[in-house]
Amino acid sequence: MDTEDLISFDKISLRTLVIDDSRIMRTMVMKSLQETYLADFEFTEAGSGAEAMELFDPETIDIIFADWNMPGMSGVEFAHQVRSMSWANHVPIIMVTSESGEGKKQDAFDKARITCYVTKPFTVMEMREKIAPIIAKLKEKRQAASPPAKAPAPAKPQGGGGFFSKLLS
Amino acid sequence: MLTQTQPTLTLEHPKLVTENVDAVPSWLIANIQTSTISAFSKMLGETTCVTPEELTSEAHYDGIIGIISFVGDYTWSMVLGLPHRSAEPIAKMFAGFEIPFDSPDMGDVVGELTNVLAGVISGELESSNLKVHMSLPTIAIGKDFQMSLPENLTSQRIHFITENNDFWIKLIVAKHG
Repeated sequence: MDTEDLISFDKISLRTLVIDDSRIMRTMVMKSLQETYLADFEFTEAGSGAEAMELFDPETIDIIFADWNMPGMSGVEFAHQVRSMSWANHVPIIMVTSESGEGKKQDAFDKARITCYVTKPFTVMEMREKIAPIIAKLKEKRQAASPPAKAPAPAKPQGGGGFFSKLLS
Repeated sequence: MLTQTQPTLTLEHPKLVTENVDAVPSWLIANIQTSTISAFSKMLGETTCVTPEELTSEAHYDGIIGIISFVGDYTWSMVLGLPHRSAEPIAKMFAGFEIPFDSPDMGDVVGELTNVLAGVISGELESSNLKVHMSLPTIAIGKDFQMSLPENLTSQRIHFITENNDFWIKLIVAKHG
């Protein structure tokens, strides 16, 4: 699918988890994503890897954008945990990080099996080019599923009860 | 016909050789200048240049600083300083919206600017086969404050200008002499 085909009126709705310890950076990532016009993004924000683990539920999150360097659980550790769970490892994880070394980038792909790597600072165009193929695949998957249904609104966990909390209980 | 003889480098990391063991090495200064110009021009959308002028005095400093440390083949710290007059416009250019100097978001923005710059620098160093890991950034904000270093450290400040603003970077390394 050509990238330009994605700019259409039948944009898919993507429930998007944005993880970064910087509120400003979360805002900038969300703004950039909206400006790509690739999907109707519905955002859930997490300020740390641990908070993201609480909020993440593969039934209510379609795509994840995670920073690498955060206090406590890093974005790579978060991705590694998600990938270690067979029922959750289909969700694309895009690492959005200032770590620009090729070695670190390769580590993120090899060890955490991330889907895509976006280096800060990035432009909207760079973000668009990186995520367009991922969104195209999500769109194809959704179109292949029958009957086609509009994705429900993102579920805000009540009382800190995310997917993993529910699983543990 | 002219022939050239390639010099043989026997050191594992030739870049670690410094001309003056008590000074900040020139290869690090060159890396910081290149990385900063590249990162800030992209982050702010304004041409960024090195200036020989000391536009901001360190004494009675009024502004915000972001500090980040690097460990690995070479250990050093970097301080990014935005004087009060430049902090709000630079923060706005980076984030895309107004951020008052006294708001908690100002620390967030400068932390992120420091972090992104450090990432570009460490990427450049890694491409020269230097192993480097960076810390999370620390922020200090205020008026009339002064940074002081222990005696076993040495530092150098580099001043930068954008089209309408200025900032500086201080490199801090251990004296080896």
